[in-house]
Amino acid sequence: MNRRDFFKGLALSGLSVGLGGYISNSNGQTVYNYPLRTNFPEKKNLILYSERPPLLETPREFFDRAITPNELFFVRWHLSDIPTFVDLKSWRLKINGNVNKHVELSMDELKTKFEPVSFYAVLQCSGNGRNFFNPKPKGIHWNHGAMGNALWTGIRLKDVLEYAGIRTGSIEVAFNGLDKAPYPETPDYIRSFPVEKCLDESVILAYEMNGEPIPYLNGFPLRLIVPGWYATHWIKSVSEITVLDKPLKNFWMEKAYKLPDNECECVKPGEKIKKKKVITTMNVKSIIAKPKENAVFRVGDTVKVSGVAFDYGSGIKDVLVSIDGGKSWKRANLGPELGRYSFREWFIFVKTETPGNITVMSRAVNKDGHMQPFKVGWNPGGYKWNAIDTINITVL
Amino acid sequence: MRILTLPFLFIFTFSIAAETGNKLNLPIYQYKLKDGRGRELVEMYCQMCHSVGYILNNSGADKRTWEHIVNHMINDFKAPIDKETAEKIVDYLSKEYGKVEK
Ligand code: HEC
Repeated sequence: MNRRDFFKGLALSGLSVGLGGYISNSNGQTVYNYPLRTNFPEKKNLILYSERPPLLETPREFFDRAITPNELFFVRWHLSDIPTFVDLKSWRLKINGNVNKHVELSMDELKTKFEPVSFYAVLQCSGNGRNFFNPKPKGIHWNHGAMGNALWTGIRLKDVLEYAGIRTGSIEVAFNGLDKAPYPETPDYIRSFPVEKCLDESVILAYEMNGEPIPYLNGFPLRLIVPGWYATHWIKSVSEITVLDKPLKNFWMEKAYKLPDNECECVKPGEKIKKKKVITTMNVKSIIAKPKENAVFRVGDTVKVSGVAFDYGSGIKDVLVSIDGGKSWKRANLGPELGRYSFREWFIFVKTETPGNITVMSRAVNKDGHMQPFKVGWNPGGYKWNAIDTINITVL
Repeated sequence: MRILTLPFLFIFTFSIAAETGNKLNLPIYQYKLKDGRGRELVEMYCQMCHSVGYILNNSGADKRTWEHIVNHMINDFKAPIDKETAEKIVDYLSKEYGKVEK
């Protein structure tokens, strides 16, 4: 490569070396702070928390639709050495451990040997909404956008495990992806869950997201889909599945993603958890996408309030909306049901009658009768935020 | 020094891209941390494994929390930082990115 090509390459990449040695982003500004809307490769218009590893959040206004397009879908990795190129000619999924035969399967074999399945399911980070806790637990301070809903296509995990043959005495299955820690002594991100859960028909290994190959940033070429459970279990770029006859022990299993094992799943801020359990199923939740926080309207305007709702798989029964601080509630219109693990769209028209500040609230109720609470108890990880959602608007 | 080393980094990434055709080229951002005693230590030790985005996103944490975070990096993620350096880093972080008194 000669000098001219090199500079051409720089211009194409959207990066340039700024004055004083600081690199500028694609808009040509030196960056001093997060968050910042960014156009990352494969992605558009997301809120940036970190570029190494990429941590990108979907802005609230895009949750006015049931399906989250791939380029707006949030991104979250733990370790910064992430796969940015995978050659499917040499890529193999390995299944080993306590199985009858160790197998290695190519993508073609996965697609032809097993029956394909497709369904919509919400992927949500355990720490989605961490920013709303008070005091704020340490970790990435996501607002509402560390979640998304996509059509996942792949094959049942159960079928693949049965192909290798689970041997008696197996208790759990561990999943490892292609991501690695840049520092060799940092524990690799490997997680496991019980064999019984792996035999659940709804747990799949997906190779497509919304009808396209999964973007690299969301776990190309194969991602574990565990509908109803938080994203920590949805291992990205899965390359190795190990059947175990004793529990997996590592930092991520023993210390991370733990909740207080009590009725409220909460402790007093700052208090240590006495008895811990691993985070699994999501709770019922709705969020308001539109109007925007602090939007201004005039008396007599008709305002469309809209958003999405979901739970762990019982399905959404109702979304209730209040414009008087929670004193009275009205039923919102629900969009079509796209399956029990999917986002459900909702909307309602509200007429503004008197000038002043209005607090708009949304509250989802699921088919098991659970509903969003006014207040969520605190936990050290800042997990499972699902309080009634609230925005403020002004009427002039 | 930094100005000199960066172009080599770019040449390296671009030559990989040319060979594979569709490798994802992730952008590189260089964040400027606030001036203050210990900034160089944070730049040296806290960007080894991840961007400073993690630090900026946790700004406003009190000294106890910063201590907790730095110890978490050393004990759980094996960050090679000795005790003395860790203390200096915690001092810098709690001063420059610490709890804002209202
Ligand atoms: C040896 C590698 C390594 C080094 C060095 C390192 N970190 Fe980290 N850090 C990690 C990993 C791994 C995570 C977890 C990332 C994730 O889950 O997204 C993390 C997460 C964080 C977080 C998020 C909060 C949390 O508890 O997960 C903060 C803040 C942070 N690091 C600050 C620092 C600071 C300050 C330093 C310098 C003293 C530092 N890191 C050095 C590996 C490292």
